[in-house]
Amino acid sequence: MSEKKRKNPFVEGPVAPDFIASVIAKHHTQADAGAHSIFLGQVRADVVEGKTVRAIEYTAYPEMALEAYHEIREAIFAKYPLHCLHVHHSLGTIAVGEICLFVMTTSRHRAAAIEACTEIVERIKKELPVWGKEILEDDAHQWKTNQ
Amino acid sequence: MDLNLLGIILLAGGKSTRMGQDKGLLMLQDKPMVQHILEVVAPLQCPMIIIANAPAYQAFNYPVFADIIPDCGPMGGIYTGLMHSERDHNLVLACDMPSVQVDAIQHLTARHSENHGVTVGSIAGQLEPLFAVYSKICLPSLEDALHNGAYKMQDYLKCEAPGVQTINLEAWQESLRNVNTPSDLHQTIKFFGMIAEATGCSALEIDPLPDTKSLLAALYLRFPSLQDYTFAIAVDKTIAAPDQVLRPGAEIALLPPFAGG
Repeated sequence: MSEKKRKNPFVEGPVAPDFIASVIAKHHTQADAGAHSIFLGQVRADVVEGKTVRAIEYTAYPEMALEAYHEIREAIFAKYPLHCLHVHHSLGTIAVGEICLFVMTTSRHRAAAIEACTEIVERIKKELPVWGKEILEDDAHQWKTNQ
Repeated sequence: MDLNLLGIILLAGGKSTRMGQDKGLLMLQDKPMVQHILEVVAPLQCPMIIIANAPAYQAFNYPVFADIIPDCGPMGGIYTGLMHSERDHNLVLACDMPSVQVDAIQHLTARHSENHGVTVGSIAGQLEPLFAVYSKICLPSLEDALHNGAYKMQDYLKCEAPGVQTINLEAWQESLRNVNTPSDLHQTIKFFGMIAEATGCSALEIDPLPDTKSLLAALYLRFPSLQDYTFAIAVDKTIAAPDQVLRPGAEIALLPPFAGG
């Protein structure tokens, strides 16, 4: 069993653009890093039966999600030569236009960073027990489904 | 050591203040808790004895012995068992581990040899004195400890017992979990997303069910609308196989399709 403390990818509320900038800035000391790949997920104003989505309320099964995320993280590090990996997924109510997922991978050359970033985003959507309730303009709701 | 060289000593114990009744006889899925363990170990075909102070244990058709020195806790039970067993080396099991698995037993017993006094399981650095193999060469030191009133098995294993070997059993942590209170037997069902909306609650405590098939039947009876939903079942935070066996105390979750990101 790994002695390392498990990373928690969840944050309450939206991911602030300033926070994303600060994470990028922290990497300037990594002299052997040559590439960062970043994915940002943003809440979109879908129209459902004539009504516009105004926010998504995210919930999770946190204990299981942490284990599932840990597995994804270990698999990604085993598969790609990454220097580091940052994942921040929002929980709670995120308004249209706000960032709900921030993934950043760092490697020596671009291919590993880009491919790893794409794979992590796909696995997060598929494997983490997280759900989104789309809140419509009249406060009715429907449950988000992933394409 | 080959399993067929071992005896099995099942400690049914005596006083259970927390359970309010004899622990091994507590009903769990329509049979006494001790019966669950008997059914796991019976196929091993080792000579088995039960250490218990209640006459009701005679019903299980194995020799039952009462404590030679009463009121000394598990140490008194192990001592009594070793005195009565026909075998030199004995697997000692507590009766309050109803989910115990044969492969955990094999993992432990395979590592015990003639040269070991005790081979004891350990989980997260904590010794499990009632999931261990004891040799009769422990008898003199057990007798000393009992006479000195030093009943704590942890102390005995750390300081007094001869030839102690520790085996990591972290992989079997869930199956070796002790049942200490009636509520440890309850299973919890958690509901998420649209499923929580359909049931109108986020969690339920239920009396233990044996497998996911009977769980689904019980759920559909209580929440007929669930039949219109797609969901996966997680057991102890892992997606369950169809018709998976459920341990008492399991954490079950009904998961609608994931929609993160």
